Amino acid sequence: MTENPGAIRARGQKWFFLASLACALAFLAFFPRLAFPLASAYVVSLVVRPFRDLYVAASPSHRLSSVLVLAIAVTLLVFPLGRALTALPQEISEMVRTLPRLEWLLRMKAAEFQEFMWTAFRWRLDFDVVALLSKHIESSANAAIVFLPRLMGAFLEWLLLTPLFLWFLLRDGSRLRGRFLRAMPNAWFERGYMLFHQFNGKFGDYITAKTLEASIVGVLVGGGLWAVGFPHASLLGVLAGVTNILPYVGPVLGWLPALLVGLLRPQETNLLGMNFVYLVANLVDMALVFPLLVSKIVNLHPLVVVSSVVVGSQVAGVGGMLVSVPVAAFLKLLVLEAHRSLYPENTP
Amino acid sequence: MSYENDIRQQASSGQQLPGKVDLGVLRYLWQAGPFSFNEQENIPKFLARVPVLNSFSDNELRIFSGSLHQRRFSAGETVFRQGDVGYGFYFVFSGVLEVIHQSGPADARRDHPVARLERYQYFGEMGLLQDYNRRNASVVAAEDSVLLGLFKPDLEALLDRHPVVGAKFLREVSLILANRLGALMDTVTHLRHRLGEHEGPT
Repeated sequence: MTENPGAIRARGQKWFFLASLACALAFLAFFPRLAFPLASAYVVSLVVRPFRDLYVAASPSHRLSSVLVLAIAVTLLVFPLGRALTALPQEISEMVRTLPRLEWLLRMKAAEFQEFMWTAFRWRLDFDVVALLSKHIESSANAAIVFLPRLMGAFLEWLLLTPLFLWFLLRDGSRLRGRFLRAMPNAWFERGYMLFHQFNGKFGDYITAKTLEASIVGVLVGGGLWAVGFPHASLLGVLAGVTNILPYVGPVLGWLPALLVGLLRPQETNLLGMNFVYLVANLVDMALVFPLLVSKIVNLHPLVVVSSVVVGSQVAGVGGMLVSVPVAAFLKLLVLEAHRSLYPENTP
Repeated sequence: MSYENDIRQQASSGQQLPGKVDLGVLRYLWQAGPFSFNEQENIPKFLARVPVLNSFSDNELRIFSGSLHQRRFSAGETVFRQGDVGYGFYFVFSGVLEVIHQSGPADARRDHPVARLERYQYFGEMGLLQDYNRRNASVVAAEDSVLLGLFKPDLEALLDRHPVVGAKFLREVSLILANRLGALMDTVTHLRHRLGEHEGPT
């Protein structure tokens, strides 16, 4: 029996599309220096596109609105980075000055612990934990110093390429999207288009909401610590904002550096005030910001959220942690879609 | 709303007007107008002749056409299958399509051709309105065909950016559904009447 030409063409379309997609992904996997800024630009474009569209609605010039939104996005991206880079050496040198005190504190606590183990269990711990830790820190620092020029080079390249890619994505994004959709085989078009739309929407909304949430927490912590006279307020605020990207464990991770600083300088710091600031910032986040901004976008079980963050960090570090939750939400959409196709009788 | 009125309204509301002529708009309006003698049918002319869109002005059709996706199907290719989840509504731009309903037990399904769709006709409107709409029948291209599809995300974007055009289109879709419901009710009444006649007075 001969197959009809329509079915043969449809099969050809599917294979061609899959092969093109696989080639594009393989290309990006082989050239991470290109893939990373492109991915960053794509994420930022999803965040700024709604603002660009709002401006386009009020202004007839598509190019002008793209330039304006790009300028604002780059300023928002580069200004805090510039501030952080200029403030960082001072903060780090101050941190380095406190390192001997940290070593002394660790030695004292280790001696206390060894004493406790001996009196309670008659168990002698002979190893020098501080020496082991120092050796590990020294070897890591040496490796980091060797790696630093390459890292700085890659960072500068990323800083230059991301705005460039962002500009082209804002300007030609609709055309590129149209071409991608045109290439999609007829058999997958309806479902593929719907999933593509849902993924973009969820991803953009999630990144916007998380950026806003991190900024609010960062400002609350930074401002609060500055108000109670706690040292390194701006750095700790940035850390609290960045770690807030991680659901559930992020607030604790953001609080630990402040606790360490507080323990190292008990005379100069207001520990109670610091804890109060973190408590208020996280309460505001949990009670207001998260329910209003984030939870409506990601309808996932907390266990799935935590697991996806762990998997994301293992696969792609901090970037993986950032995108893990919307990717998990998209995978949920895919599973539901497949379930609907396979079990139509269970679909309402 | 016409293009002139649209521009006038933008000017009166203090919005910045385009500094130069938009050639895309001009080309669309020219192709849709009566002075375009190009025999080859294009999308502007096609949309102006679709009966269900006859309440739209040329400018509204221009806006509406921006949301449509052109899809080509070879003869024998399936547009969608009965039972698939549907998200789209299609106009037949060219070609002929066959609507096939399958019935019977799963191991002995039989195909019943129920309709043929030709140029200016449309199908799949329930896919735009219902969540997880299941297609009631399969649609297969009987010859090489071109369809213009509008999908749920496009309708949402249209309602968001051009609410007047979006609402007008939804009104037309409601009319299509109301007509189909009316025809269905007539059939049910007729069948009930026939059944009554067949069973006789009780």
